[in-house]
Amino acid sequence: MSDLEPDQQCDRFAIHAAGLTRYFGDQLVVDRLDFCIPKGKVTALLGLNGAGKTTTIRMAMGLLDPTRGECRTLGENSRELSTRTLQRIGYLVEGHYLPGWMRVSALERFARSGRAHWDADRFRSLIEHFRIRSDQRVGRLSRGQRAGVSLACVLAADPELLILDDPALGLDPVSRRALNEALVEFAGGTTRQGAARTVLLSTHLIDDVERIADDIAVMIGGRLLVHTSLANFTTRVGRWMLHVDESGVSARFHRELHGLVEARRACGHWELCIANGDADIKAQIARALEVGGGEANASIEQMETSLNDLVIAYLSTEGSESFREANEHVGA
Amino acid sequence: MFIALLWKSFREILLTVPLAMVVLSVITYLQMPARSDQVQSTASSYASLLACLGGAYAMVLGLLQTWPLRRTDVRGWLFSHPAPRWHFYFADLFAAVAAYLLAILVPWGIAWIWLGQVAPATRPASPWDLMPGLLVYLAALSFHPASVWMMNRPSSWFGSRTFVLALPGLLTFLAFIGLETALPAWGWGLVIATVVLFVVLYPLIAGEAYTRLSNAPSRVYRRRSDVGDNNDRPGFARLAYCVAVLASTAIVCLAAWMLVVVPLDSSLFAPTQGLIDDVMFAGDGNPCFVRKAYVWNEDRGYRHYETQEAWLLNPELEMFHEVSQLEPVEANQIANLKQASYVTNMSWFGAQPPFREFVQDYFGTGPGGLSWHPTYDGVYHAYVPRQSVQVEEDLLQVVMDRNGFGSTEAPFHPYHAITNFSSALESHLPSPSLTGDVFFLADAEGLYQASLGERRVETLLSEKIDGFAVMIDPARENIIAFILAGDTLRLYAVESDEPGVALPKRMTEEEHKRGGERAPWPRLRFDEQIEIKLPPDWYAPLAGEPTKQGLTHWLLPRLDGGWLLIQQRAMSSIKRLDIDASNQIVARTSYYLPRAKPSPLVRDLLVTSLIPVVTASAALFELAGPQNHVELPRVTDRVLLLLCLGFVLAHSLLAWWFTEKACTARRLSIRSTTTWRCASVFLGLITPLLVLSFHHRIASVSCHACDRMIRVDEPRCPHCTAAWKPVEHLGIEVF
Repeated sequence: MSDLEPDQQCDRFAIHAAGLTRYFGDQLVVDRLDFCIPKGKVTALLGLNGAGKTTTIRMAMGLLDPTRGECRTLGENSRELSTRTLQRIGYLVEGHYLPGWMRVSALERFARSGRAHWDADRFRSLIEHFRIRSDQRVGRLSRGQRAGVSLACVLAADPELLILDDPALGLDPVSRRALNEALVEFAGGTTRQGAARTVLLSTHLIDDVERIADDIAVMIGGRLLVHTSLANFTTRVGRWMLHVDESGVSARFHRELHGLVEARRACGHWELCIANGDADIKAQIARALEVGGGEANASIEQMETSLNDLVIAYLSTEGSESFREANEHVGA
Repeated sequence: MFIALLWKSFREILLTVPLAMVVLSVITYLQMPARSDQVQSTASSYASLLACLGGAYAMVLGLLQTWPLRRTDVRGWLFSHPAPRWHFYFADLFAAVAAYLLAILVPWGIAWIWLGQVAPATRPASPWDLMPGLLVYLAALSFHPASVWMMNRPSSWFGSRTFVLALPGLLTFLAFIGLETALPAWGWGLVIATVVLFVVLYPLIAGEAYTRLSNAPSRVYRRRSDVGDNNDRPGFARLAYCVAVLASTAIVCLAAWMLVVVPLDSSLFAPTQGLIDDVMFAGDGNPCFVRKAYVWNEDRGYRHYETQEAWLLNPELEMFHEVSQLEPVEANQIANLKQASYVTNMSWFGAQPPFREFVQDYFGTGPGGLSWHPTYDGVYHAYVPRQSVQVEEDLLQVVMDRNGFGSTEAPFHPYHAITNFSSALESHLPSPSLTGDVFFLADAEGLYQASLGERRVETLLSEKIDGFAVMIDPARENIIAFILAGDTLRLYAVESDEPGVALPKRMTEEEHKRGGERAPWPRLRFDEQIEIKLPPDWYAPLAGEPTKQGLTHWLLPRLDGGWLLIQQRAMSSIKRLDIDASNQIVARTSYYLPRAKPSPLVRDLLVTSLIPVVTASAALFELAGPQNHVELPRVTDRVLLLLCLGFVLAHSLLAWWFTEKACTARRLSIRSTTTWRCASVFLGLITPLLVLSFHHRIASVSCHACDRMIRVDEPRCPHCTAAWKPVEHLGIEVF
């Protein structure tokens, strides 16, 4: 069933998924994902709520079996991750769950058991960074402090692969900054064995992504539409301003303009987000306008774009007609 | 890591331990005997309470450990720690076992020590009375893995999710019954094998669910595809599957037993409630089987039995083993029937349950002031009542066994079957005051006469005894004891062994009303009169069943000086054995009892049709099987049974058809479908329900190549073997 060959992914990829599919009852949540997370990089996984990010991560962590397909994490089938492999993985769950009855010191003792390499200094410095005492009960900590303890438990284990599921959820700006700083510092180094560290970060905060990620992956409706480096993404996707009346951007225009991610009417003009555009993108747009029954000589200008705008444009496609049409025959 | 997990698991359930300990302490305290003249069935009631509480506590522990794991963040945090998933499960299991044992050991241990100190001196109890409770409590621990399994099953709460709790329930019940009941060796073997099997299997199956099924909420079991690649199916999943089917089979059988066998038993054969069977003589001296009903006589102010129906037990039509029809006695002749004899219920000395408890047995007040005498483990205990000696607590005054008073070295055997047949004798010799001082005992090895006043125990008869009864001939007023041992029936004439002292005579009703006193019992002598070798169909049921319930014997004198032995079995049949004066068996006849109250035919048919063919056959086999020594019933009953079988067959066909439909709806493989079809023969109409509950509906989509529906977990189309279509590109992908 697997398309994966063991020798393909062990060395280069931290996570390698092939045809990864997951249903919850009748609902298709993750749809035939094929992706590789290269080692030594920070990959940000973006998507709307319910896009399938957490489900994908849980399948990669062996917490959920795929309905179909396979995922290999650090070279092992994620359904049967060995203890040795789990020692190389740090996983920060969404919401920073920790048992409330434990004290921080007891939590450290629990977290370090079974870990081959435990960096007690790092744990201590991190909890000090978040102004936490080791005799405090976890249940009495603030959300930010709990995030700090969670992160300290994960990072002190010196993992080769760090998977973070929405780590900044509900944190105040100061805690968020502290979290990001810790992550940046961690991702820049290597493990004690000299292995490059890999981070898979699921988040909604695109500013953070810009700051710490090398690669970006965007999931929409269970499908992976973007998985590339940040630089490549901003190069291959652009935003254009089109001065044309409302009728100019017809349904036919949508079909004709290849790579149209989003067309949005704003302040008397159209804003287009186009991926994989031709070298002469203006001519491409003009042709589509002409076929669509609009003005061929409409004014077209390139807009200043931020990663935030581009990602939001992508995320907006989930409700679009073209995306729905494509997903109607998703099963077969 | 395992130690850390164990510590965490135990710490999380630690708070439940004192709570459970308090509840169990209260229960234990309430079950302790408060006074020596209030014998409580400590072993039995304590065991039943601990079974319920233990099961509930085990379930609570299982739920506390697994319910939080339904949250994805809790699950993610825990299982991302570097340990095999089985370690998490075993940590939970061991922590639960520790908490479970800790909760009982303190109250149970204190009760054990306390009883060891006060019993039997001031309490009619033994520390061993607490042992069945502990064992049943341990059996109820199986609810823990069951609840873990239940929580990790990806099934509906309104479907089959809670189904897995049935088997621990049965297991606990089985352990309880096993400890309470005298079982033959094979029965004990079966109980132990079942308990051991599930003690090993259930945690493993629950572990499989904990480690594997919980990861797969959208389907229950992987299965081998008909074509192409095979999915790996976890080994224990198969086991879980088998156990689930086993559990459901057990439930079906139990339900079938309750719904079908019991109603059949009571409808095809005579109901017994409020009725008593007896044998009387007709005017011509022929024996009649009579059915009497209990009547309270307002005028006379006492109860009596009135003969309702009677049938002549005709002499044999042919020699040896001929089934005869019973001829009813005409209504106007019923009043002329004469009492044939008074026969005590037969005492059977068979297998014994593994745990003893004090059994209350009143002798009456004797000169020693002993008011009551419980027995324990074959030894009589006599307590001084509080009111007579003005002491704070009752005190054990004396113990008695076969060696006499003060001895515990030679207990009566077996312990529970010591029969004080004094009252049996006296119930047929009505007297206002029972003798009390002198009483008679029977055990499996002999007959004994004891005198409280003289503190003396004498052996009247020393021989092996399986069954023992006493008959008093109303005409001759002599007492006959008959003893069954193996295939031998021995009759003894009971006489006075003291010269010049006669046996007490039966009092007339007038004497009884006047409150006349009767002479005390002299020392008895048992003179053997007859020894008869019984035919195999007579003694086989005696040896075959440990309890021998429902087996009644009458011994009647024949006019020619011989004897007539009548055996009634399970309210269903009567056997008659004619023994002539030379102690030879001259005739054997079997009769069927008429149905006292015919039940509606339709109800029988409907009830019977609820169970599948195999169970129905087993039920009928049980009813009419050779071990019951019941020959084929009468013609009307045969027609009824045939009709029932017809309904059962129709039911099985329906079950087969619905199972087929259910398998198709779940898109099961050919092999699975075949298995379930076979199961429907055993399980009946419950099978399609089981299919629908065990196999979840997996989403299906149409194949892009052949357009037929395929399950989404198939690696490729099972019909055309086409692979899944690749993802359609939208043109906006950036890789």
